[in-house]
Amino acid sequence: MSDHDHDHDHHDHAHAHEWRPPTEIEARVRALESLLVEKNITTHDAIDTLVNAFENDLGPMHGARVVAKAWIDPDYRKRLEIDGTSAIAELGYRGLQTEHVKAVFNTAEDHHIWVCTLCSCYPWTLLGIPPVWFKSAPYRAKVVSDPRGVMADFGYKVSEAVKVHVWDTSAEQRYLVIPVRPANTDDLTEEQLAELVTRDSMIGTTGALSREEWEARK
Amino acid sequence: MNGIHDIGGKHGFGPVVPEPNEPPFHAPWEGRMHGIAVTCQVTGVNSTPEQRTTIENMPPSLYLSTGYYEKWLYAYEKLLNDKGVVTTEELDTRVREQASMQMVAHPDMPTNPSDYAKKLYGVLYGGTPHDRPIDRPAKFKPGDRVKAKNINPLAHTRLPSFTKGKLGVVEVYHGAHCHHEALATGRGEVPEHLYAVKFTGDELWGEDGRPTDAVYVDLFENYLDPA
Repeated sequence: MSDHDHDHDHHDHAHAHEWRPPTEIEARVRALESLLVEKNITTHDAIDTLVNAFENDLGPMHGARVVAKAWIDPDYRKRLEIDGTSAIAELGYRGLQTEHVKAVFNTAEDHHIWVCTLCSCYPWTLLGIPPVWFKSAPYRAKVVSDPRGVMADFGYKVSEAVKVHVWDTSAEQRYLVIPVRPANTDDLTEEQLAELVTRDSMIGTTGALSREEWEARK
Repeated sequence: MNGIHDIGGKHGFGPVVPEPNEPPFHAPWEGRMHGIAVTCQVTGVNSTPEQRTTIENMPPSLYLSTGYYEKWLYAYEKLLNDKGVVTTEELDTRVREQASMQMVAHPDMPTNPSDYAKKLYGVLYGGTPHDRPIDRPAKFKPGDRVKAKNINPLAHTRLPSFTKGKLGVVEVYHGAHCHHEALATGRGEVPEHLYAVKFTGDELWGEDGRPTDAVYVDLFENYLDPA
């Protein structure tokens, strides 16, 4: 539960249109929800449904399955190249903010990374709720002019010879990076391969986990 | 508008700091706020571009000093008041009335969901595609050289400032999508051709950019001139 103070009785009504301090924020959100329910714009259980889906179902493990399948199934990879949205939907992933997805493929020569410089666009039903850093000024400002610097912030480095391609998702088209399959993973199953695929590697701020990193996590 | 949100390429914001094991929502109100925003859009109270426009019009100092979902609350308080759906006075009164109430964290899926909850679930997992038929051919195709227009409207735009006046090449044609500018001003669905345009690092950043690196920006056709 939140540890916010509930100091609601000290409102200054002379400034009704000014923004309120964050200590009141939980009370204001609850009040807004209750009024929207009374006005038949929503229901509490609809909001419960959405929060539950984001907390328990939607997340980067969905995108990781897409990547792992693209690593082991050349036909699937081809379909993903041609029509990302349909190939992703084959695995059952579709929905809000995942209506139009283009997969971009990292190779030994090319590294892809995506951002929404103007706001926070992100494929919710493929990767879940975006992390705070993705939605914040430092990433949105820096990645278009200094993507290698951003990768360094994540402790990741690509060779000087690699071309870096930054995709700014400024409309309703979304992107998914297919990282390079790590070395020495021929014996891994599709499910194990999916465990190598991190959220950040599908945004492009890092690569997939190496076999050693994956084993160290187990 | 070219306000504080139009931040691509700006210096001085510091390093990117990832949070280990970050939860989807950091407090229960963040999840409720996310739900309120989605539900208002599904019910047709407002569009996503209206939400974005309201956030873009925050005072710059407030924009930079508030958290992500604080911006959303700001946007919905203002949007709903402006539309007369929930007035600021109603909200203030309700905040006082409910002062002692607690917010539930991590709600379960409803066992016997209302029709509206079923509808919202369906939209969440079904999506709302943005592509539409259009009655005129695309002006550009992949490989065409284009120049991003130098325009600075006060109204909502999805042309990032760092591309304005820059030369690029069409990399991908995405089809025709509903234009955000029309949705932001209540004009409904106006399809426009949409492209990913490739700008090289040196074109965007001069000698501080790398000619072999590139930024691809999704731009509507009316933002582009042939070059």
